[in-house]
Amino acid sequence: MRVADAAPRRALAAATLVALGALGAFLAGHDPATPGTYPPCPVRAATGLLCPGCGTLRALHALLHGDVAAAWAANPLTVLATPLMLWAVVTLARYAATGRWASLRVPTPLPPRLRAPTLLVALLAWMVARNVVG
Amino acid sequence: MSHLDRLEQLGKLRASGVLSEEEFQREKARILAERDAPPQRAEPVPPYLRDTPPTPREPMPDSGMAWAILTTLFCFFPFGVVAIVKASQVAGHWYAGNPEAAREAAQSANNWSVASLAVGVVLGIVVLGLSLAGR
Repeated sequence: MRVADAAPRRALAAATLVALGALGAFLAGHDPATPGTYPPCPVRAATGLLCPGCGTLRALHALLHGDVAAAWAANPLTVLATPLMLWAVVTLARYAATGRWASLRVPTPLPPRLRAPTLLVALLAWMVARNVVG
Repeated sequence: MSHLDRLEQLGKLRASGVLSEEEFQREKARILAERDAPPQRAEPVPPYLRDTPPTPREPMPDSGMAWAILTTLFCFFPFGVVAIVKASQVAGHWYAGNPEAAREAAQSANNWSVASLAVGVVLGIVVLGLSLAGR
C-alpha cells in the first residue's frame, strides 16, 4: 500500500490502532473456545493438522483476561511474541502521534542470512512437535 | 586474498616487528571494516575521473522481518509468509553487492506486511460485524 503523503499514513496508522483496540475488546468479550463466533483455521479445517498459529485467538483471549498459563497452553508462540506485538503497537502509536517511524528489530546473535531459515525451521518443528506430541 | 589471509599476514608483520602495535591496529580495523561493508561492484570509471563523490557506506536497509513475523502470527498469514520470504532476501542481496535489490526486497516485504495487517484487521471487523449482527 503506497500513500504519497505522510498525513494520510499517520491517519491510517491511527485508524489501524483504533480497529485493533476494538478487535481486542471484542476478543476479550467473546471466548474463542465456544464455536460459532470465529471462523475455523483453514489449515486445520482442510487437513485436520494443527498449524503453528492454531490457538492464537484462545491464547490472546486468555492473555486479555490475565491468564498466562491458559495462554501458554493454547499457543506458547503467541505468548512469546506478545512483547514484540506490544512494542509494534507502541511503534505504530508513536508514528501516528509524531510521524517518526522507528524500525522494529529483534536483538539476535544470528547473522542476517540465517535468521529467516532458522525461523522457518523453528515454525515447522513447532508444527510437527505439536501434532506428534499432541 | 581473503580478509582472513590479510589479517594473518598483518599479524606476522607485527610479530616480526615490521609494524608497530598502533599501525597493526589501524590496518586491522580497516580490513575488518572492509569485510563488514557490502562488496562494491566493479566501477567502470576510475575514481579520479568521477564527477560525483563515491557513495558513502550506509547501513543495510531494515528488512522488516519483525513486522513480517508479527503479521504472520497475528494477521493474514499467507501474506505474512510472503513478507517473511521477501524480508529474508534483503541480507543476501546486500552482501552480494546488490544494494538496489536489497532495498526493493525490503520495500516489498514491508508492502506484504501492511497487506497482511490490513486483511487481518478487515477480516476481524467482518467477524465482529457478523457476530454483532447475528445477536
